[in-house]
Amino acid sequence: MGIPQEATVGIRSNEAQFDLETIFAAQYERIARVIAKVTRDPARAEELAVEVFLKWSRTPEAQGAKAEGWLYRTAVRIGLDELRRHTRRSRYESLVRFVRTAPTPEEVRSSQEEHEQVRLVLGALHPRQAELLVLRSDGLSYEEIAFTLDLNPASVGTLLSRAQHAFRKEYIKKYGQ
Amino acid sequence: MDSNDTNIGRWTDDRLASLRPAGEWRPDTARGLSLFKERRAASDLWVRQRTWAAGAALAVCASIVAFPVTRAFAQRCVDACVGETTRVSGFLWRGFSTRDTIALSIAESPFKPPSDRKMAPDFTLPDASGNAVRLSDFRGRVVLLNFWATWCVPCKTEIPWFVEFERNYRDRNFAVLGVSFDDDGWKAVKPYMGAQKINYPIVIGGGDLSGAYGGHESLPTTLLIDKEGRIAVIHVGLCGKTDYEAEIKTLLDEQIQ
Repeated sequence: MGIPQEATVGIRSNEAQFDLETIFAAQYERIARVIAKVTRDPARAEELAVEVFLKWSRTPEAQGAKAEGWLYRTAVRIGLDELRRHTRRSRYESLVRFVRTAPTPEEVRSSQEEHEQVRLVLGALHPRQAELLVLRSDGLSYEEIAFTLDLNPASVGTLLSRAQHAFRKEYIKKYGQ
Repeated sequence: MDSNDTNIGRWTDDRLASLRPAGEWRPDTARGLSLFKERRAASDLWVRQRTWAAGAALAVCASIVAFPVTRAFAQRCVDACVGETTRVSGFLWRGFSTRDTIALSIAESPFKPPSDRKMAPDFTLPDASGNAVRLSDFRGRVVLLNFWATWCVPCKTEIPWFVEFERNYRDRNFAVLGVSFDDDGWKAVKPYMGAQKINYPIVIGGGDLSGAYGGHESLPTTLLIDKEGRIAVIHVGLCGKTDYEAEIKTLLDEQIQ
């Protein structure tokens, strides 16, 4: 799975006059999907995707040839921020709860599901490592990851390997082997 | 990449493969675009409103500064705010006191009793006309020694007060002496003196003088020197006009021992 070709055609060209709606139509679905992948909340993901485009429309240096990478990078960051915010809120809520009630069967089942555990581990990683892992899991090649995160393509392999080690270490610390 | 790295990579990929949105879902591009347009329009409106508000505020400020009457009124408001802020902060710091305002101001300022005061280091520097001004020549008078600069905004707030003090207390053995620390020297200071109608002598200071007075690098720094040439109080930064006035009156009323 890579960056869909048809979605990038209009963006990579250096047309001075870019069409906002065309780019929105071409990129929105992909942006919303990558956010939803991290947050697991489709409605919130669609809202955050609109936020990404609003930010983009107000950032002149992100337009033109850099648009695709900028949109994708911002989407992943916004998704991870939302995930961390959610984790923090849950922690504070559990701290201020005066009477601890037993978790519902739904809460127990959810916390045992692998995607929930993976999300919690991602939220605990260094943001750049989490971004690398999300992009990689979205099927991007090393070159595409380098383009999106504005990295040297030669260093992506090393950075990704470190991120994978960090992920495994954090996962085992939280949930065991 | 060794086999351990490959295994960890595969293991991580397997875990991350579980990341996907819940259920069957396809983002609604038409709805997203409509929301995007709506929010963008709201954001543009907010920016326009903010620009108008900033422009209106600028116009009000310009009109206040343009006319002498409104400028004087604004100056009085600033004076009152500075005084009140000093008083309130003093009240919060020290708690409620029934002492009158002037006594309270003095009690809260770093005003030293005569026995604790040190002699002000003497200096001789030329004034704007080239005449030598020696601090020790002011002995017998209460001196307000003000370190300032034309680029220092709080300094410029205080200068009209000092002009007023010079006018009101000159006949009671009081004098103001300004020491400018402008890098451009008289080139910057003389036009400002003319514009502000400064009625007391100004000299140009330097690093030696600042060092002699303890290296006070903040401007404004204002010292009140008693009739015997001793430093009674040092104010670093902007101080309330009423505080200065109360301290000057106290020093003027002191008897030479």
